[in-house]
Amino acid sequence: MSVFHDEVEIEDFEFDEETEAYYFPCPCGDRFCITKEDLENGEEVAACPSCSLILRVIYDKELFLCGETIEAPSKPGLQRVQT
Amino acid sequence: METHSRLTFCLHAWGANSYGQLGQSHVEDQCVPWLSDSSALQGRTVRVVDGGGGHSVVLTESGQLLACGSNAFGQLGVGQTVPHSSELLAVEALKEPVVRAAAGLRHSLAISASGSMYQWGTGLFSHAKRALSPHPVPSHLNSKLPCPVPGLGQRKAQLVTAGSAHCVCLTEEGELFLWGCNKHGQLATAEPFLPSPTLLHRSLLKGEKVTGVCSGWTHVVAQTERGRVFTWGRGDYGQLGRSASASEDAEMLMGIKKDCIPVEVTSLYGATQQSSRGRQTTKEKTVAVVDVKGKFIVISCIEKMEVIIYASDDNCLMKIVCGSEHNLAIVGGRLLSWGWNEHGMCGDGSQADVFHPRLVSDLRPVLIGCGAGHSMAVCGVTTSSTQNSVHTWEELEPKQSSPFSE
Repeated sequence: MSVFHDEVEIEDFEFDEETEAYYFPCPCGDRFCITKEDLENGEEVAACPSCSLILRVIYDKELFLCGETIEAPSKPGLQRVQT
Repeated sequence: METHSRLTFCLHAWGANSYGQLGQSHVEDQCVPWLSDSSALQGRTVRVVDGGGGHSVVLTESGQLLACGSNAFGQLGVGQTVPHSSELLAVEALKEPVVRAAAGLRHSLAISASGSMYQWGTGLFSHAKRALSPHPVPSHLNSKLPCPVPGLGQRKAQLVTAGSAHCVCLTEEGELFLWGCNKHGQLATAEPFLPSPTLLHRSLLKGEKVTGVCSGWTHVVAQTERGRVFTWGRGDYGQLGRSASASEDAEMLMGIKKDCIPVEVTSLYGATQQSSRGRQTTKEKTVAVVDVKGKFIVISCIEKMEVIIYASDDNCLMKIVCGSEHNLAIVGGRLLSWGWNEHGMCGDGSQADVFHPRLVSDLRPVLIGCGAGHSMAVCGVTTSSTQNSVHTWEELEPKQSSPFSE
């Protein structure tokens, strides 16, 4: 299925430190999952292991690319310091 | 030959249990029904049970509310004391007896005996923050302890139901109030978010009073006093049981139509009427009075051991239940289903979504229920009359007037 079931902000996902992955409930009863590594690679699709539904993850790609792990979106206008 | 025995009612739970939401003091999934005999229940009868995203709420006959499962969003109503609990915990902050409770994805709702409404669990907080910024988020959307919900004025709440990020309340006067996230049109308004209970205009429901309401994750089903059933909210998997409305309010969002306008589903008309049919037979004998969903339902056992269920009070007893994105209904004694069907939860043997209510085999259900992605039906079974014992159950509440006058 190429249509996203929904779009969800990364701050609404629950982070599991053991698996280093973010989870959000799926209507089937299982959970959508996307790993921290996926996010660092710029991925934005969270899939459910039990069904065809997929979520689009809304997050600030720049913040994940530089290796920072965040669980809440930053204030708008944050810029990387150029040295 | 009759035997008399006292029937006791026990809470059983099964399914996903990673947060302890089954209330069985462990976190293993259960594939078969298992007794959730928590000492916290103290032997009291359970009146209402509802499951949320990762938690459960259990209401006893004495009006005490308990909860178990995930508390990551404060949805257990015990403050930030524990991250989760596999034991039923009393929601002690609710001082008045509770008469109704509902569990959403990451929030909970309760109605007290005086008709006041309470909400807890921060599941709606991020939606509220994004939608209301820079205005502050009201406390009832950001609390880990039961918080009074303002906006009903002098009205008394009677029924409450919760979706993934929205809430619905039915008052004694038959008015519907909705609040929370409106991303999929589930609040029947053009606003993207409603922070407090907002009245749904009766004109949208053909001017009729509402007598029952239930909610999936992103859609709502309401029943009026005349037996009409209206649906609105997300409909792309067929959850609304009807075609999308062609009004100017229908927007395209990611290819999903925003169906804000309640529209009647005529094939579901009379989904409450099934309950009164049982009174027509004359050879019945009352054997039990059972609490179901807070109203009394009499289970009557006639000579042929057939079980008929009906209610002493047709109000608030809607024979429609919602899963996350699918629905079940009892109409005319038959079972109908519609909505999302990828896991076969519509029971038609396929995995194709069902866009209009459709009969499910020959099942004659008396009670129906849904989990997020599954369906359950309790059906009467006719056994032969060679069985020679009839269980007679004590009435639990003798002061309730009996619907039988004969």
